[in-house]
Amino acid sequence: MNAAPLASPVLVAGGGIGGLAAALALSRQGLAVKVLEQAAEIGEIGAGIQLGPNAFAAFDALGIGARARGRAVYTDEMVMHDAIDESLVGRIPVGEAFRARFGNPYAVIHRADVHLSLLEGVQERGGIELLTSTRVARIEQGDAGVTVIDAGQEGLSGRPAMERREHLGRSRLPPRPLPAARRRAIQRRRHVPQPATGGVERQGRQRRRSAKLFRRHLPARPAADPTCRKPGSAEPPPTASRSGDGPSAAPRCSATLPTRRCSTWPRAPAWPWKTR
Amino acid sequence: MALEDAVTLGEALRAHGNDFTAAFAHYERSRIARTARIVLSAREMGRIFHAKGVERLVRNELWQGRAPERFYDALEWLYGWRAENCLAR
Repeated sequence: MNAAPLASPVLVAGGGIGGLAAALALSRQGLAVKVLEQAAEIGEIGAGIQLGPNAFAAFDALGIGARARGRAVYTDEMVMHDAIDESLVGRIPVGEAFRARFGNPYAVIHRADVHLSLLEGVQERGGIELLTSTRVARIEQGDAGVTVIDAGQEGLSGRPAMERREHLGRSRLPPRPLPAARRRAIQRRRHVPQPATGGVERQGRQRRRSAKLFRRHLPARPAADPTCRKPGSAEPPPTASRSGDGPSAAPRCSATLPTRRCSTWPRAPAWPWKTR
Repeated sequence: MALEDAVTLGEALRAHGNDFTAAFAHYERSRIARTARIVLSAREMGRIFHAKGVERLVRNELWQGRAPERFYDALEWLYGWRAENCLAR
């Protein structure tokens, strides 16, 4: 069908991953878009996330597939070990057979790199206006469209595509602080906290105790080897090892993830993945 | 999910010629069950990851030695998403 032109732009509240992705999708439908972001700069925080084949399909549909592929880290398998006896519970290969099945790879990436890829896509595309330091205070809806009142009381006319704060309420609660023991473990970049008593126990015992103590999983990810990530690289490497431009003796960014170590991501301060 | 949301909204607008009312309705119809399934599945995976006692033993017996194809089949609904099939019929 033909796209009916709109008199006013579509307003997107929030310049995070959801907002920029929406802006790209709408722009690709031929619509003029204004993104309202309350922060003074468009940026992103967060930790590492997993990308399934569906995420890569979405990147492609938004026109940023190559950028995202260049920033992702590809793995060969997902494994799960029992925290009590360390036995192997499940193993899901995500190598060639997986990619052939789903048409796209499985990977991990820093959240900020997803956002950056979207932002670059927005900037490259043009026709999307980014307004920073604009906090949506109120929305007035009429028959012809809507007016968004920002905290500075300037009215912006348009049509809201996604307005989270107004319609969904408390969508940006501050993160809950991590328990002290977990914070210390993360600061030490270790899987386990120091034992409170003695130093004679085996590490395995400590690990078991800490697993009970923490009641949560600490996902293991590729080691904090900065050469594993190649920021800005646009080459699509759905291969197990990092595509080498260094010496062949350089440490391999192994995709068989170390499951007994919890190494931290170069840019991720913490893994606040807690299930209960 | 945010990326899927955005693509789905764009596809809905394309299908409805930028009629926002119809597109939003189609978008909601396409997203509600899938996003709820993702949330419910994540919650259940959290329970499985942190199973203890006999639940843990059951989990280990369920998964140990399972062939990759069985995992793939179970993940098809999640990983098989594409822009071409994202709109509800």
